[in-house]
Amino acid sequence: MPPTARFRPLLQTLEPHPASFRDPEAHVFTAGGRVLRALTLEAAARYDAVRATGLLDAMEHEGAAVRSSEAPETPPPGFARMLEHEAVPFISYPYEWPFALLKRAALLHLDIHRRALGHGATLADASAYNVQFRGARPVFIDIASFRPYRDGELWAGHRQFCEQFLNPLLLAAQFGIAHHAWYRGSPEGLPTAGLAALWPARGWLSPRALVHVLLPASAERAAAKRAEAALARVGRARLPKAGYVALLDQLRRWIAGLEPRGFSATQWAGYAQARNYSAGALEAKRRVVAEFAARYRPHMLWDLGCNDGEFTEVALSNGAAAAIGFDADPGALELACARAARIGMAFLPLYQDASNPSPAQGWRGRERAALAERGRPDALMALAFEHHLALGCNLALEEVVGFLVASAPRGLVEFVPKSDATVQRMLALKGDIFPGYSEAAFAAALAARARIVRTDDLAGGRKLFWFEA
Amino acid sequence: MKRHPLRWFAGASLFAAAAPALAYIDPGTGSMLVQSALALIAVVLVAGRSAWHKFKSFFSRRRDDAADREV
Repeated sequence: MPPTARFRPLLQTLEPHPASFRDPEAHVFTAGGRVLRALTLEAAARYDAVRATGLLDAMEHEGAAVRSSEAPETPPPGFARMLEHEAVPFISYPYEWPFALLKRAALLHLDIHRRALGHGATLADASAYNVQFRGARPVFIDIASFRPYRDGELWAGHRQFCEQFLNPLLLAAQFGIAHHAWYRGSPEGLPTAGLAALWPARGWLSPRALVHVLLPASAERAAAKRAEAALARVGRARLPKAGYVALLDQLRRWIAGLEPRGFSATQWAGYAQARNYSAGALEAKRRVVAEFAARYRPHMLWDLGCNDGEFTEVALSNGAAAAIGFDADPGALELACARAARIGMAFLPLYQDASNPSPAQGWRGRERAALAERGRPDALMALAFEHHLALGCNLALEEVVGFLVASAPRGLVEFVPKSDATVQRMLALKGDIFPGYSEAAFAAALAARARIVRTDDLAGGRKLFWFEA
Repeated sequence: MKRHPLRWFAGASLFAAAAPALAYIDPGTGSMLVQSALALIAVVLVAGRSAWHKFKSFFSRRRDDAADREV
């Protein structure tokens, strides 16, 4: 069959994806919500070869990779074939993933690479951005990064794997520092040299730390002095397949055992136990959340300040189809990830500081999209949240309400009064410099921007406001 | 024998042993040097193991020979 017979003209304009420029043989385009990938002849041959092994079918069936199929569109100039990929519900980045999700993504990457080797294939890179999440389940999206394995080849993606997966995990597991800020400032990953500089001397006794952190860092320094000799040596080197597999297995064992240090002691990780809600007050709040979810049945709900995801779960159980929970506390996010895994629903917990949301960054400031560019929820919840912006970040109530109303067409927002014990603690050292902070001022700011459709009084003067923008 | 769908790649790779990694990322000299050192260690270990097996089998053969003689 002549190849042109299959093609049909484009119905929508292909938009080149701003992050898809590294692989010259496979470029991603979007077209009206669809995700298409153009392949050169060589890339198409590799895709066919990997597809023929059954690896992709198995991964798609298990949900470990997005489904890909032939697309009938005419490929852009220079390309021979078009694939269409199943779109993931929300694009997130490793600097937003909680520790538990970065760990799951790392293990998925290693497992896929290991399986690929078993099928005579390997992965050309080890980018963390090639993993996305459906709920809290990782899924591999870069089908074009499979390459034939050549006997004796070195693992070209090892450094990238370390910088984008291992090092940020080690930062939390070894030093108790959450990776988000450093990773966001260095989107290509945490340089191994930086981690090695922090590493304690006893690390030299650990084979894992030696192979993946300390020796690569010192070899890099040595190679910078004698570049020709280093390149000649690398050019001659051959790594037996068993050695390749052993590297992957060693990393898998190491990462599977990593746990973040000190996160259980973060401010909010013990919140569910420590808060001074009576059982009755808690039940009342849960009931309102359930009614909110049942009334609007949002396809996508954003829970701002989700904490351990307790109320996100209530919303998901009562009509919300999918939810993203945002929080800035690494300990609370770990609990939310555990909950997401336990309930098995479409719940994705992500790190986000509402006063400093993820910006657009990377090449020309377009490669990684800002949070607001990546989708808009059908509804939002902001429970015990507004006072952190208003009193913690000194933002005027009008600003806070304006932000909430602009974020979603409808929402459930809890107002926390000044008399509340948590607010009193927040103001104890700072002093009360907020004479304008009151329920009346909050309600007025909300009424000026949206319709207040219902209010529910909670214990201690707290109040839930339902709004429709 | 089952024909492996990627076997032609394996054949092609015989002619391309020292070619670049075909990766569009920079693999990093540090990581590659460590892997080449590991490959050397692996070769030494494998060679060492086979020498050890030869050494062991030499003596076990002697012991077997001795046992044969006793019969």
